[in-house]
This record gives sequence, structure tokens and C-alpha cells, in this order.
Amino acid sequence: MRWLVVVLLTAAGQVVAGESARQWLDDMSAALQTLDYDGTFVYLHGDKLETMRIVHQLKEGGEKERLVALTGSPREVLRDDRVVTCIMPDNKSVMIGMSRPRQPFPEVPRDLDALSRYYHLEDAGEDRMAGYETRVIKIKPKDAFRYGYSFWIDTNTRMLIKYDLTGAQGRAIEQVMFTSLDIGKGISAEALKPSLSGDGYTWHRQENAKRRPQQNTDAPGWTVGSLPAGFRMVNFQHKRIRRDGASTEHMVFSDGLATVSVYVEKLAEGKTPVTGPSNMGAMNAYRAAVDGYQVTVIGEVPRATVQMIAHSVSRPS
Amino acid sequence: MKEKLHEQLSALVDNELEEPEQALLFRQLAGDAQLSQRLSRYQLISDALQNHLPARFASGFHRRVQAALSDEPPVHAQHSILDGWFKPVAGVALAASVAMVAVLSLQSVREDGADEVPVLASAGVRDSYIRAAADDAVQSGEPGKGAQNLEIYLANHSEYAVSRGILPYVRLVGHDMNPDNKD
Repeated sequence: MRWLVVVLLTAAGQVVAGESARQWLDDMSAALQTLDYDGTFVYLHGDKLETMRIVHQLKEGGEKERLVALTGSPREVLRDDRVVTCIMPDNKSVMIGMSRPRQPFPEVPRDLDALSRYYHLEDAGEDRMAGYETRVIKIKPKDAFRYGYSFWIDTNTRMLIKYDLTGAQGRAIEQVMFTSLDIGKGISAEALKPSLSGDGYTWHRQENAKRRPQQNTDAPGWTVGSLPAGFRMVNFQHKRIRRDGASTEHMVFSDGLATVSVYVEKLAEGKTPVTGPSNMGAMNAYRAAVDGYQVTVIGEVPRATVQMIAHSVSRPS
Repeated sequence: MKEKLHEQLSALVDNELEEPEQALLFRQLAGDAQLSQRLSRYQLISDALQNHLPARFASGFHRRVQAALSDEPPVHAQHSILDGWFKPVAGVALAASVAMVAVLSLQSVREDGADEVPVLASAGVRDSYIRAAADDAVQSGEPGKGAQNLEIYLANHSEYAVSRGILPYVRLVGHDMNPDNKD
């Protein structure tokens, strides 16, 4: 019987550790969304290092956020509860889209068992990081189709101080760490204004398409045959993303932590499809051509995952 | 209330609206499709009055202008509506509104479904953005090119990514899309 007691105690300990880890993540998520802060952080990906500033404010009117690159091209993203504006001086473009209500990160299911099939949550104890006393929470994937995360959370404010995004072998793919951080000291209106004018830029606006009668369906016209275990479709919309205003089918899949978007759009006549992989830090994309349509799969998952999904997109016969 | 809003729209088109009022109006425009359509009409009327319409538009465009003119009270535009709009260090609300105007202009010239919202307009000087819009309306499009096209998807996806709760858009701001890089 002693072994049974040991097993039960171990299992109970894991549940408590999981609950504790989730509580820390919930607190961090709330801190990121509700605190006023102005911070500078470094973003390390591969052998590149970028420095950025983030300003965040929560007022009666909702959240306002400005993210600006301090090194390299001075890209900026401004976001409030309605609109996201991305200013890209290097390619002279401005992208405007509607923002969506923020979800907590991670969207840990209340039923930890569901998540624990694909990830392991761990409260790794305390650590001193960038001058802060932090709690380290780790989320480890159980297969090679998703990434893992490590968070260093300030024990006082619950603010994120550092995070690592790791591959299946535990290798860091992306790292973010604050080098200076002011919390709750008041955010001036000036700090939330863009420093770029957008003068002379090309403007892109993303909209959800108003469906034509023949498109009046709640089901996507395409199917994805291969998804990693635990991924399910959480959103589907027709959109206008293309330059010519043609409709793009957008399916969103998630396992609760990782999210993958699948975009399918008809190729314009005479146009050659783009195929193959691309990446932006931990965000991987894979493009494929299927029956005269351009398929683009993009998500914060390893390349193998987007590639597998892209090659399984088909139109039901 | 509505009349006041319409006056503000007119003043906006005339570039005579004070900045605090602009911010309020842009907020209203973001949530009011009818108001946005009215702004689009005012824009077209202003252009028509000033003879700033580009030579090339889809057929039926002038009919739309005429119809808009007959529907709306005159707009007393004394100068180009974009004179002064593209000043250096313009606020983003102002910049966003320009995009909205451009987009709505394109919406007005589309022949294949007036209720569909296009996604791109080229800004800069006024004539060029309208011309770009007209080109889009009469030419078949293409699915964008290379990395910039992917960045549009990335920006769109970022609003859906669960992880946007960490520090959203870090990747978009941090660097360009790399073709065929290993993770």
C-alpha cells in the first residue's frame, strides 16, 4: 500500500504545482493587461538582438499600447481596444486592422488535465533576474509540434520580467528581457503617440468581408487534414486581406497555448503561387499551392507543424 | 446631434477641425458605418468640386459622384482636403483617418459590389492615392509579394494568437520575415 500512497501524494503534488503555476500565469496575464508600465526590453532571436520600448496604459477608455523598435528600422505598433496600427518605415507601409478583445495568456483551460496531455506546467521556484525577485514558471511541450515557454514573473507586481520560448529540446528560440521598467508611475499622452507620420506610405486595411449570399455559410470551404493532437478550430472568417479585395478564408486553430492561422485565397489569373517556409523569430509560416489557391499557414509553432498543416489543406470534393 | 456630426465631417474634409474634435470624430467614425459612408461622400464631393478627380476611374464613377452630389448639401471646400494632412509627425489618429478616407474612396469606385470593403489604398499625395484606388478597382489583383505580404498575415494573425497577451507584435516590430530560415 505504501507505493500507492507515494503515487497518490506525487500526483497530488503535481496537481498543486500545476495549480500554483497556473495562478502565477493568471496573475502575470492580468498584470500585463491592467498595469500602467513603460519599459525597455531586449529581444533576442537567433544571433540578432533588438531593443524595444513598450508603453502600456489602462484607462476608462480601455487599454492603449505602443511598441517601438529602438534599434534597426524604427517600426511601431499602436494598439487600443478598437484598432491596431503597424507602421513599417522600412517598406513604407502602414497596416491597420481591428483589434480583438485580449485573452489572458496562456488561455490555460480550467481543466488542467486537458492541457497536461500536451504540456507540462512547472513551478520552478524563485530566481533573481534583472534586479527583480522572480518566480519561474515553465511550460514544456510533450511533442515536437509546439514550443515551450519559461516565464520570470516579478513576485511583487506579478509583471513579466523575462520570457524564453524554447524548442522541443529546450533550446531558446526567442528571449525577451526587460532592462528597465517603470510600473504605475503614470503614462503621458506623449509616450503613446507615434513618432512616425506615415507620410508617403502605402496603407493596408484589413477587414472582415461582408459575405455575399453565395458565401453565406458558417463552415469553411476548405479542410485541414493533419493537425497536431489537441488543436481545434477556434475561429473562422472570410476576410479581405488581398490587394484586390478578393475574399480570403481564414481558419484559426489552437491547443489553448499555441495558435495557427490558415489563410486560403484564390490565385489571380496568371500569378505564380509562392511556396515554401519563412520565419520571423518563433513565428513560422509555410505557403503552398492547392488547386489554383494560395495557402498560407502561420503560427507560433515549429516549422514542421505549419508545413504539415499546409500540405494537408484541401477542398472537399 | 447628427447635424453637428455632419458639420464636423464637413470641417474635417475642409481640414478645419480642431485636433481634440478630430480625435472624438475618429472614434465615432470607427464605430459608425453610416457616418463613415457619409465621410466618403463628402470626400468625393470635395474632389468633384475641386476638379481633382483622376482621369481614370471605373465606369459609373461619375454617376456615383452625381448621385452623391444630389444627396448631400454642398460642401464648401476651399482647398485640397489633404493639404496639411500629411504633415510630418502627424498623430496616428489623423493618419488612420487618412487611410480610412482613402479606403472609403476606393469603396466608392468599386463596381463589383459596393458593400465590399477593399484593403489597400496608397497614400502620399491625394491624386496618387485616388489613382491607386481606381487602379485597384479596375484591375485584377495579386496576392501581394514576398515578405511584405507575409507581414500582413502576421499582423492579422497576431490578433488571434493566444500568446499576444505576452508582448504583442514583438516579432513584427523586431525584424523582417526571413525566407527559408531554420527555427
